Amino acid sequence: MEIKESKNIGEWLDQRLATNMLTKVLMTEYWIPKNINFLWAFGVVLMTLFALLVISGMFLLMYYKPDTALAFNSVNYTIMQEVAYGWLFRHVHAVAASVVFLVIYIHMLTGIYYGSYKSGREMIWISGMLLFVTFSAEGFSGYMLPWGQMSYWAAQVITNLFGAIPLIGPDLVIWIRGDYVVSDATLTRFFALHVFILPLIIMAIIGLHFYSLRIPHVNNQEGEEIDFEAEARKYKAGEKKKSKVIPFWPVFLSKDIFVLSAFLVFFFYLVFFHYGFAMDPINFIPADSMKTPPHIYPEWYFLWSYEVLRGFFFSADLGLIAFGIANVIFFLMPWLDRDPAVKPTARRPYFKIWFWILIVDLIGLTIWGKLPPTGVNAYIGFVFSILFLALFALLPVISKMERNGGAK
Amino acid sequence: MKELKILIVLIFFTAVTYYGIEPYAHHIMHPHTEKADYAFSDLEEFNVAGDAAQGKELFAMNCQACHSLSSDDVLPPMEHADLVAAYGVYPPDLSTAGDLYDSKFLANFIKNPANAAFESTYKKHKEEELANAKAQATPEEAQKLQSGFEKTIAGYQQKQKISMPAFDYLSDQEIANIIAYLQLVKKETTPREATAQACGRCHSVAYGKMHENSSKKQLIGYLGSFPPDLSQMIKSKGEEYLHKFINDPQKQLLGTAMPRVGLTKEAEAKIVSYLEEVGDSKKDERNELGLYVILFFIVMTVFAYFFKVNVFKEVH
Repeated sequence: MEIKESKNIGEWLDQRLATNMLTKVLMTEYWIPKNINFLWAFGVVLMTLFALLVISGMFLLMYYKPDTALAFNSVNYTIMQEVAYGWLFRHVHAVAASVVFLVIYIHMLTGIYYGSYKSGREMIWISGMLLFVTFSAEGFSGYMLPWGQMSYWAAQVITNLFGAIPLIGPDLVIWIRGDYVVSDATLTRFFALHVFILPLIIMAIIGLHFYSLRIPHVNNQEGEEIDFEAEARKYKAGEKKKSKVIPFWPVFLSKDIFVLSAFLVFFFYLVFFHYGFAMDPINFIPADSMKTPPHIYPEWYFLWSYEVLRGFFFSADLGLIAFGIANVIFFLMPWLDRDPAVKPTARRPYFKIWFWILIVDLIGLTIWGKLPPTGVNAYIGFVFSILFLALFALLPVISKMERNGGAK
Repeated sequence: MKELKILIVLIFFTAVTYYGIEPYAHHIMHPHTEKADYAFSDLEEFNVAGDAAQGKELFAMNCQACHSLSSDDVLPPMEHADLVAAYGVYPPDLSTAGDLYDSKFLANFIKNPANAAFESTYKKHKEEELANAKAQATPEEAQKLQSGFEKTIAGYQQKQKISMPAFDYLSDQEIANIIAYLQLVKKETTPREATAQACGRCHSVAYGKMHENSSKKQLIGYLGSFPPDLSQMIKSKGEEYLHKFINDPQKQLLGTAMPRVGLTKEAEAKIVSYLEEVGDSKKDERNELGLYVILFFIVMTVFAYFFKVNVFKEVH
């Protein structure tokens, strides 16, 4: 290829990096269905939250000290009170870490509602679920770092769970902690996981998640099968109103930016004025291995699976098995749903009931996951846990009934 | 319209979840307690007017052997270390006592320190606990609860909790005179000084560079456990809890080694404001910046809306 003299920097770059082609592929000719609603903007919201987490995290990293003797004060004194705007970065980091899970759950349930996990879109779903798992690990490891009471005791309780795995359990717990109890060794390794290893893995999976969207394309509100090439030709020929697709930039993103801005009003309200839910008061007490807090609970986004674990209050083993199932079952959605037709939940007579019961059950598990498991609460938690397992046991049956003519 | 419906569903489920895990769960985990009682209504009333001149003499005869009063040039009787060795704990200087402590509480304290600081309120809250337990018990169980209660109270009263002896041989008039004297010579305090005086004998406030003025070993010997640093209490406990707790520790944490110190409402407010100044020093900056950032995104939302409408004109 002959390199000509360039008139401007755009041309200069294009000759060397094919930036015009790149812009087309990634932006102006990346086609998205037109028939979508604002729930389709939550991917960009998630990306923004992740960026906020990375940026605020980098600033926190400059002052944080991963040492049990220094960690608490490096966060609560140095960062929160001495460093200019250190408190802002910590608030943004803590609130974004909590809110990102709210948006992940909305994004996941949107996928389930519109059947966006099947008929060629399985890899989108699986890479998304992998992101959910890695984000969970990232959230858990990060929560340990301020080395407050809840950091310590949640770490103690959660790492202890691995002890119940047959044969290797007890050794595994020691291997994870690097000590017989949660200690300095545990803090430094979770620090390494939190600031380097896990973010790297997350970024790689985000790449995979975006890539997995390209071949089967983004789903739409009606689950309609769209001939993207034909519709894109229509759009490029000027029939923009008739075409069923829109380009990622500027059309799709123009709406995303609107949704994102509105979301950020809410987000920064939480950051400045309502952050208690993301920064538990108990975690402002330094970790003390001799004083167990009266109530130990994980962050809110783990409560539903934690309650599946606790729900079997009469048998720790059954609880752990149920907990294990709860953590992998969503991966299997594309295969548990036996009806291959892609349709919104509203048009699926049985699945509709299943979906809304699932929502109520997840919220019930979340709320009872925080309440003390005493008296009647233990039984309510048990009912929600059983219901959760039953829903997934029933899913293949009801979706098969739909495939065989239940649905119109 | 469809999008509005989706938004309402989203907000509804998010709000229900939030309500369950925050306000509702906290309400269940931290049962409601009464407001702070600055009248110290469980203690005896002293309705006698004191005479400061006589109080000064009484102070010299009864208090000066242990306490200094720097505001009236009364020096400590011994070196710090000797005092600690003699009494197990350092007897405080009383220059700020007339300012910080409620006069009714002080009178009761002089008369019987252990009762004012611990026993009276411990007993009151144990009685409430007993009444609640009895309400759900059979007559035999109630009998057992009653005898258990009496044993607990008797045991609690025998434990030595305070080094200062009871001055119950002084008349009410004499006690009132001493208090009148303390109030005459009292020194006004800043929030930091008030905290150092009222809390600093046992607690440190590391973020305010304030250190407890007794050794760790002494404190553990005297109290049974090491009192926590107060730097982040405003964050971990919150203003409301701190007020209730300082006013009456037994109400929030029955059996705690922390004494009731009998602060007036004003003195207590000073101390809590100091804890906030030290523990949440960026509060004002946060509240101010917050408004600007939110305003920025509201404006951006409006612009983004018009941009979106403009772009979508072509495709709809």
